[in-house]
Amino acid sequence: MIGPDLKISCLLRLRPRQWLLLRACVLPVCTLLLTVLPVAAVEAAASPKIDPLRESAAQVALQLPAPVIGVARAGDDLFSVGPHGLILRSSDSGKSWEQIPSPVASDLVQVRFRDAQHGWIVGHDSVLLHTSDGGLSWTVQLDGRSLLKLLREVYGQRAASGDLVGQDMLQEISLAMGTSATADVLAAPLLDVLFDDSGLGFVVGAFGMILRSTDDGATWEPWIERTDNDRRMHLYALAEYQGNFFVSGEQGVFMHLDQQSQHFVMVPTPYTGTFFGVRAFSDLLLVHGLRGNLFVSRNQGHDWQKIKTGLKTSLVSALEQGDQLIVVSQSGEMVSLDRRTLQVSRLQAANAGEVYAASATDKPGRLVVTRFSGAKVVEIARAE
Amino acid sequence: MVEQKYNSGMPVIPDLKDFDKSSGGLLERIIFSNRMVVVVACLLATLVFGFFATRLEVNASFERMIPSSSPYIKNYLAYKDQLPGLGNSIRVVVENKQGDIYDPEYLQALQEVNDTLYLIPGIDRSWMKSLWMPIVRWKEVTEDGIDGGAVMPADYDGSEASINILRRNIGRAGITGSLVANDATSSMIVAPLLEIHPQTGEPLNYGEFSTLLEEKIRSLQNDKIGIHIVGFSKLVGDLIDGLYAVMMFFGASVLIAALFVYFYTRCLRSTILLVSIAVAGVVWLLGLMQLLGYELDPYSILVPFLIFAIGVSHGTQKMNGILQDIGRGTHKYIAARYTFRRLFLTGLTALLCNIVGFAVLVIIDIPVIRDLALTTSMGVAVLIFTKLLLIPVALSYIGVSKKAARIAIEKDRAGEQNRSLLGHVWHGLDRFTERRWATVVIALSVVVTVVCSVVMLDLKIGDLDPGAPELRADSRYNRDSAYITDHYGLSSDQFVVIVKTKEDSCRLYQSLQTMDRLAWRLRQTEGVQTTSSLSETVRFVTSGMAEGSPKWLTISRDQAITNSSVDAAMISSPGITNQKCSVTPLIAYLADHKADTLTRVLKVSEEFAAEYNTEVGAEQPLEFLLAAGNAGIEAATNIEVEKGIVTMYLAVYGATALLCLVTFRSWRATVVALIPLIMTTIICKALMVWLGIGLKVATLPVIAVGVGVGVDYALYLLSVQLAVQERGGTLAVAYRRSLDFTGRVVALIGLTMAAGVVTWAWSPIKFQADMGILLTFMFLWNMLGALILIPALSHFLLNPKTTVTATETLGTDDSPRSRKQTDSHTQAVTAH
Repeated sequence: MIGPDLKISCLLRLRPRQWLLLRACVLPVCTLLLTVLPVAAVEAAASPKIDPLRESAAQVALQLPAPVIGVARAGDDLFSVGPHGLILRSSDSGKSWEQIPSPVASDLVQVRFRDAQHGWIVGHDSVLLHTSDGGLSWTVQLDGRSLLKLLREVYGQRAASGDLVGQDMLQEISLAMGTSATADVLAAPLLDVLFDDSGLGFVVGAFGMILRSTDDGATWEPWIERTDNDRRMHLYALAEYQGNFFVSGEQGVFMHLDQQSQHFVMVPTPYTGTFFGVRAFSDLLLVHGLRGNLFVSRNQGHDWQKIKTGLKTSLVSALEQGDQLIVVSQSGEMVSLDRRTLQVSRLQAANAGEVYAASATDKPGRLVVTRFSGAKVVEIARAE
Repeated sequence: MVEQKYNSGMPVIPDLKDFDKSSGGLLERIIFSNRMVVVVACLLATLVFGFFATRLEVNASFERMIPSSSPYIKNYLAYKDQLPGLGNSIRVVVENKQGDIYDPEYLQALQEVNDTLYLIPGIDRSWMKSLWMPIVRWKEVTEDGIDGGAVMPADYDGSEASINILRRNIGRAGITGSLVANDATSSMIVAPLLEIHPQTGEPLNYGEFSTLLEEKIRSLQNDKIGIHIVGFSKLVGDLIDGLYAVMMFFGASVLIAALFVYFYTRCLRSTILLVSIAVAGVVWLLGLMQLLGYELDPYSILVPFLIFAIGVSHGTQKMNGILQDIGRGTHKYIAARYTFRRLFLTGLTALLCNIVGFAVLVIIDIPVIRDLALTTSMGVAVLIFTKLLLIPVALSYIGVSKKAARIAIEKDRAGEQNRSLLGHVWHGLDRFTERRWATVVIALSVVVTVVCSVVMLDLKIGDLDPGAPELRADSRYNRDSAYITDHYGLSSDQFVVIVKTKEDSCRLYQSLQTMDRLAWRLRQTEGVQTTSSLSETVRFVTSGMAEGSPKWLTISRDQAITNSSVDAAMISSPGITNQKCSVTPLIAYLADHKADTLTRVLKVSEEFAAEYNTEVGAEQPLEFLLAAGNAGIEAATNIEVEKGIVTMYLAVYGATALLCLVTFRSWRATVVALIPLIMTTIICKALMVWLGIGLKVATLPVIAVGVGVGVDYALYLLSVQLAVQERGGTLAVAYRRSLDFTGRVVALIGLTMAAGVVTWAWSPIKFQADMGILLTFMFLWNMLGALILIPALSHFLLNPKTTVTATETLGTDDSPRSRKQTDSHTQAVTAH
């Protein structure tokens, strides 16, 4: 009777290792694994009728619930993105939303704005979208096809010149492509994107994907090998403060861009679980992850302090609200963290079911959370 | 004078010796010289058929209520075996009426229900879910993967502490809204059913299973604990219970009809005879049904009522003449032969008309309606024997009471002389042949018809009430269903699209992505509350495997990731696709099953299928096939019903018109006969709008039956009227004559037919009630329409100029000579 569930948890525990094998090694066991798994994928590619990368997003009826995953502020506006290429904009602090055309129908997971005009969206099928008109129109900067081409070009050239890293990377890519349902599309998702004011920025994704751009994303340079992430863990989030870039990811991965070596180096943390988010401020570095784990550092990551949030589920967002940081958990619970005293106080839960992300709005005390049933406005209230 | 008129030209012969036994037709002579043989044969037949009738099975098969030739239903029938978990489970909700589920007393009661249900044969124990089943587990993402355990703590002891653990586990398991009510005042036991009874090895009998649930589970409820049970098998069980209740109504119908007959004849002897012979007809029919392999289902159970009503009402016709004859002193044997002579052919024609009226229903391609058409036709055929042969023969033995015969004569005289109120009204009917009244009647009819035609446009297709449409909104089952909808947010209206792929190809990115696109479109369709399918589950499983990160709520193009998600989904939710991963249901939960909602959802799905179904011979075939699920089947049925109604009108009115043409040999008379019927049909449809009854499988045959029976009235009235007119009688005289001769019978037929079906209105099965109400209306209104509209229409259509002046002289004033001519002709017409 316990059979089915037990089996699932086994599968889940196996997963990271399985993926690890797929992504990193060239042992015969991998080939075995690949042949065991039904790789009808290649057949399916013969006559694909639906390719989200080649379709623009369908118009949705906004009075009906549609899931959204990521949310961000762009000046006074709010943007939220979700599956099926959904991009929504709100000009009234999250009360009402209108759909913005999207050039792709892929599942979008994160939206970020540098200022009121310049924003980026990342999603599955290695999609990266860009706007320079405050989010009214979006263009594709990267997708599973162009990224694959780019990687093959860059690493191909290096391999051709006898560079071993280039050869390894090519092998890694072809291994990853072995399971893609579409022969010319790199399937893995991009999970976060961030640019500084100078136009320097990074995009990170699953299986250790990371690229750098210095021109607001017009051109990209793969940086996969320029990290300490040899295990190719998923990279979930980016943060930046005055040119200092940070990346957090799966299984305790936390890295910092070393300006000198131009390499992301591992920063040790007291936790080995996944960090879903990172925030960097002048006086504070903060990472949050699974099971309510929240760590802060006052000295760029040398020393860490665990903050007891009292929350049990993954922490999805930490956002500024005056002197406070509001930390939101996936189950919709919230605490506020005083940035100076690091005092935690409990807030009333969002009571909205599962929450995927949260953003501040132009109105103090008002948040917007993303959920399966759409975005929802939450007023912050102290729980007593 | 009066005698002559009523014996219709046949001499009064008080003594049998004076009667020429070789008079009359060949059939009459054969039958009446072998009276004993006829009686004994009929008795024997009744015994034999009665024996088989007792072995007739009672069942409620849903598949017989759906149009099996609809392409959508063909899809459903082709794949239903591979779509497990679609409705074939039972849900028992145990409610704490005095608090919430975190109550040791409640949990103990729940355990008792759980354990009792577990032991009922037919429950698939390995997949039964409830708070007390260890299969229901909580899960939590940890750094090492996923942690979990049974929701009910292994060391549960009813203490505060263990209840708190349970509370936490329920939260972690995320079963609120599925196994635990949103307000935590009840929890649910979900038990899939086995197809085969584990002990007998025979298919599970839903009737028995449902009875067991009532006996063993429902009996556990008390002031504190409430029990609500829903599920397909329970629904079928309740329908079967409803069938037994309806059988009881048969008694009531018999009683009402007997009362009518008694008030008409005032003769206990013949009333008992008529009713028993009509019941015998029903016994024959039931025996025949058993022999021909039919079962009694919620539709066919109505046939005996109809047959009984037709049997009684037509049988009573016989009484008319026989009462008069005996009243005037004719010997009962001779009176019986007179009646046979007078009415055999007319009766035969009327019954054949009825057969045609019912038989045209065969063109509606829904098994229950076909069965209804065939069994009713069969029943009417049976009546030819019981009514046309047995009644005259039996009457020749027992006759009628002298008193009744005397009353019959007196009543007619009274009516003739306008002494009673009824007689006054009755007599007033022929005023409708006058221009003034005819104009008024026609004008009124036009107004009513126009108003009703406008109202009729609002007639909705399908079922309009929430819950299981087969049962009443306030039935136990529908109250349970409403409770569950309210407390669990679970809609009972499921529209299922069947996704067909090659074996093991449901897992392919392309299949899932396309499936997901349809789910997405359906979710964006008004009236769809939510959807559930493999593609959506894969999104959640993929996210779950990525430590619950919402950024992985996707169908990954990486087939390795998607493969493991599909595997996990198949393990955790069996039935999400078939074992071979080739037939996958996509379920849309609808807000209601109104026709508009169904049409909208159907349209979205159809368009999607047209766009995305792969071409024949594709390497990876992917097809979206409509439809399954109760709402899907209803949508398909609605389409057929909508098509069927047009075909049915054409067929019924076509057949009726043809019949009238053949009988009257006059298109004017045909128009006069049909207009009241068309009007009744229109008013009936307006009535459906006012009563909130939709056009559906059950109400489709009503109009055909109503028209088929309703045309009888016109046949009776017009045939006499036309005959008199042909002999030069004025319209008023002709109609008067027609009323005197058949009007009372027309009224009686209307009343007894209505009596036969009116009891259905109290049936616990909703569509039977709808049919009962509408048929009662049709039978009565057709009668009124015939009595009032036929004279009025005749004034304009069947009123030759030459006799206009004659209409001023009323029927009672005309000379004995002309009356005699008329009468003899009337006799000729009715007997020919």
